[in-house]
Amino acid sequence: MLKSALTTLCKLHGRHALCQQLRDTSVVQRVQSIHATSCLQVLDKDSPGKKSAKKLREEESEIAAPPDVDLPLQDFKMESMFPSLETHSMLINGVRYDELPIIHIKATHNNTIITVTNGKGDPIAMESAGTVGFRNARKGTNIAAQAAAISLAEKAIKNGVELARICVRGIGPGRLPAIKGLQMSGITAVSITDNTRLPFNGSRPKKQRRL
Amino acid sequence: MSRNHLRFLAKTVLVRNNDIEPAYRVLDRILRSEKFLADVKRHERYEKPFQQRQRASYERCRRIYNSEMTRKIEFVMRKNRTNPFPR
Repeated sequence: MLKSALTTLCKLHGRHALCQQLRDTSVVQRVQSIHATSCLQVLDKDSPGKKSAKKLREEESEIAAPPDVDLPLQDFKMESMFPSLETHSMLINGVRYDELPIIHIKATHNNTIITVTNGKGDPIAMESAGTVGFRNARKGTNIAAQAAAISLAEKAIKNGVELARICVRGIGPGRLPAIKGLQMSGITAVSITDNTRLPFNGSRPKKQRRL
Repeated sequence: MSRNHLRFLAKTVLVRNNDIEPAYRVLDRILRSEKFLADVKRHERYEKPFQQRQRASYERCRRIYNSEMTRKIEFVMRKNRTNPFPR
């Protein structure tokens, strides 16, 4: 109904004038049905939703951008406990934060698997509660996790890994003991990240346990 | 969340002076207060629709009870006089 009224008005007064008027008075905010000029103009470019979307895209590109050559590399300093976009290009003992080796800890209910990778993600060494001699139910204990972490740290230090970012995945009993074991045997943690998987309603999980 | 989405930005804490304990506690507290860990645990096993309904209703009741109770306690504890025991 509104559209038909507008079209009749348009015929009377001429499209362009009306459109301009509408825009000026901003009675109708979306005058998309009337094409007075080219429709390259974004009418609601000031809407908060669009603004945030635009901002997000910029942030993303910043993250995805290759290491900046122009930016002077700063030494690592911590203003807060949480990393920012600048943290990734900071230097820690001469190495960029995003090129530090990563220690992945996968703590499941029945086992704890720990892997060292370099900054790109290529594996250097791996150790698990099973490979350090624990079997069956004892694999899924905190002691086994700690033992695995200690024996892995030895291998890692032999390969020249001393500073590392730690990624934890899963909510098994080896979650904290593994980190502690790494620290005890001389690896300096720069950050701790939680990488636990959470499906957005993915495939149907197993049925409930009945005891 | 895909694997590389905001990697080492989201759910990350920096460790100060190789003190793991406080950093881990901060991370854990955040995950727990956002009910992330509870969510992960819940997604381990299938929750049947009747269980979902029950849980939702229980959570709703709990939320209402807690908010009302804090309101009442605040009302009872409210005072409008200078503190007679400043020390």
